[in-house]
Amino acid sequence: MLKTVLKFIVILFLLALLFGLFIPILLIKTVSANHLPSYEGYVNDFANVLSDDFENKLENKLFKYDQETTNQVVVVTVDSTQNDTIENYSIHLAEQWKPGQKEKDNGILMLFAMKDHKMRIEVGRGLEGELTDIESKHILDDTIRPLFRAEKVEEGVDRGVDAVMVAIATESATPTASENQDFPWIPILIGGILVIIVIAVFSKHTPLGGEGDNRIRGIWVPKNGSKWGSRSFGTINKEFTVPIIPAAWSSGGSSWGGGVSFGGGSFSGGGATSGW
Amino acid sequence: MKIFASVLAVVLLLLVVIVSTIVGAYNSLVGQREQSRTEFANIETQLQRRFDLVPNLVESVKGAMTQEQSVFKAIADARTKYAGAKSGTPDKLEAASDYQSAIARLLVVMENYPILKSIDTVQDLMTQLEGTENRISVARQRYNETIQVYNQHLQSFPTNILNLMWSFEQMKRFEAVSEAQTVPKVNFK
Repeated sequence: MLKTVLKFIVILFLLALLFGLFIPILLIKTVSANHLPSYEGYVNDFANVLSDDFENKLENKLFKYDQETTNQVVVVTVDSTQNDTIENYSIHLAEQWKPGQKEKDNGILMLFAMKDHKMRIEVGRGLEGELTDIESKHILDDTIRPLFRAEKVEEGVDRGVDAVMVAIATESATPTASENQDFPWIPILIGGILVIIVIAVFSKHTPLGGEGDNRIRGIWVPKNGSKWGSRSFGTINKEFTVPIIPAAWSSGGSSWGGGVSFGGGSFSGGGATSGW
Repeated sequence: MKIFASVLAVVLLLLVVIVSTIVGAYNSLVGQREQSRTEFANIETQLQRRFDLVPNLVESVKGAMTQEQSVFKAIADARTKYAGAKSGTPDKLEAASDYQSAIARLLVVMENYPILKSIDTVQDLMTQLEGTENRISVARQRYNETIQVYNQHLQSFPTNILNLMWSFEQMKRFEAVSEAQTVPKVNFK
């Protein structure tokens, strides 16, 4: 009897350690997840200022461009960046969507905040040499701004995209070293091994196990019919493991949206901002 | 005999847990510290780029701004201070902030000389400066996020106890000075 109680305490202790030690590590990584929208494709007209016809044409153009050059150019319109600066909003969007290939960092994000009358070209790390800040500024000021002022938004976006394509078509992007956040294999591996050891030690089939009474064993062998044992494990799974691990996971690779998937390019704040 | 085996198993198990906790804590602290240092180096790269740009800007506006010698002096002084501070220290951060306020002041003063904005060289230099400021702010944000994880880890149980024997030190946040946040806001209307 004393032995079973002891075992029970040890199990609880180990479980507590397991969750106490590893879950916070996973949680810390997900803090940065925020309320930004997910992407719908190369063209994301959140402000509804582009006609469907134009949107499709541009989407096709950017898709073809991606196929030919692997450069991923993304167009975004929003009403407003709220109380955030457009620079902040755009880098966070770029960090979350990760257009561009992982090894080349050849993504471009063109953001138009319609009601703020602000726009920005965010240039991926691998393209900063081809599309410099000065060139970005000139595209915004000289190509897009006059058309936007004349209320020709679609034409402005289209010409702007063309100008960006011309600028980055001159050379293929140079590979850059990019940091990758790996899936946390080690904590999960250790956790798994611990669980296996625990099961091995307390199962009646192993020499180390001994013969405990049925109620306790029920926790580890749910088919014996211990109700709270299996159910409580299930809740833990639902509340912790399921939402947390994919969130930490997806930060390393690409996320999905509308059939288009971006390649995981990284950004360091290059580009230019302007207004109209 | 059976009891002995069980006790042994439990002891082994605890040992595995304790050792893996210690090893894991140490290794992730080292990893996070290295990451923070790399990100700090990224900030310094961009700061350096700013130091290369600003003298050019100063050169091209100096002629028109003869009344504003104190601004140029502040920029030069802050630069000297930055060059003298040891890399990765709070002094370095402070000197960088001073430099940033000096530049901010220059940009504000420049507003009084509309003629400067029509010069292409000045405009391009301003664009580059804005780009650099933005890169600095991105690098700074990333650095702050990384050291937040590191500092939080350092203060969490059981790492805080283990750290009594390792003495990892907390890292300082790199905050923007308040004037500095207005730097990239230059409008050519």
